[in-house]
Amino acid sequence: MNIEIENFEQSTVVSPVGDVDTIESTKLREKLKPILASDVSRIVIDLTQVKYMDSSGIATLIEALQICKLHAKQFVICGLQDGVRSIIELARLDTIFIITKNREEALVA
Amino acid sequence: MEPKNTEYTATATLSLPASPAWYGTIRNLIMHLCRNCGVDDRNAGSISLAIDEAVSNIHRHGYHGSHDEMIEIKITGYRATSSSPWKICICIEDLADQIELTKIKSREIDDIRPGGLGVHLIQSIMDTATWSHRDEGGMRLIMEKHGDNSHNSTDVKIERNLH
Repeated sequence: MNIEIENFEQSTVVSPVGDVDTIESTKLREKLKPILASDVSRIVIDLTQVKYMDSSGIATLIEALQICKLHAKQFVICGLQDGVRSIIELARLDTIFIITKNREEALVA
Repeated sequence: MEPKNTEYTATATLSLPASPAWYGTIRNLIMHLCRNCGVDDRNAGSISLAIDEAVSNIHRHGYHGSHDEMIEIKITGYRATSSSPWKICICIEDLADQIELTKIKSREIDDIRPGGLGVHLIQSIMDTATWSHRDEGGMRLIMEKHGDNSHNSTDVKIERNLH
């Protein structure tokens, strides 16, 4: 899985490419660590290119959300494919995360 | 090739390591088998996810993270005709530590924290999910999913010593 990182004014967009499963969620967690520790005020996870995510991927997102809340950062996820939206709804996290249609909306959420 | 307009059953048995390195392969095989049994992509993806979560739990809790231990997944797709509802039955067996059956449960879903979602996802996706101890050692999980929406309340059972 590739993970693209783009920096904007006060925002960082993290875009995983591929399935976020048990193995790949570990890589995503490692990529997120320095971003979560930085002074950026908004972190956007762009999931446009993720067709599959399992509970380990969801756990990674929850961890990041909790760290963001602790440090008053905004955490937004966007570009959800059907399969990913489905697991987020099954986990009843659709009301916990800020979810936008695309990264443009996420950057002004 | 479209399935014939007749009753049919398709069964596949996979015997492979319960290791994360195999999860992608398992998902792809399950997706293909489900699609060939007439399951739509959304349900095929959900069924693959349920199996993924079950195997992941076996790897983590039953085999304590070992990459060399084996599991057997038997998946059967039923359909009376190509236009009638499908049914998918899955049996996953292992030789892992026998987990106390009362401990197999979903965590409080409103308790927002990482981890512990696997059993909740399995129960949410499948119509039935039944864990049991095998007499010969290890665990057995039997799950069913129906395509006709007549089994839309999850029936979760935990039984001992089923065969």
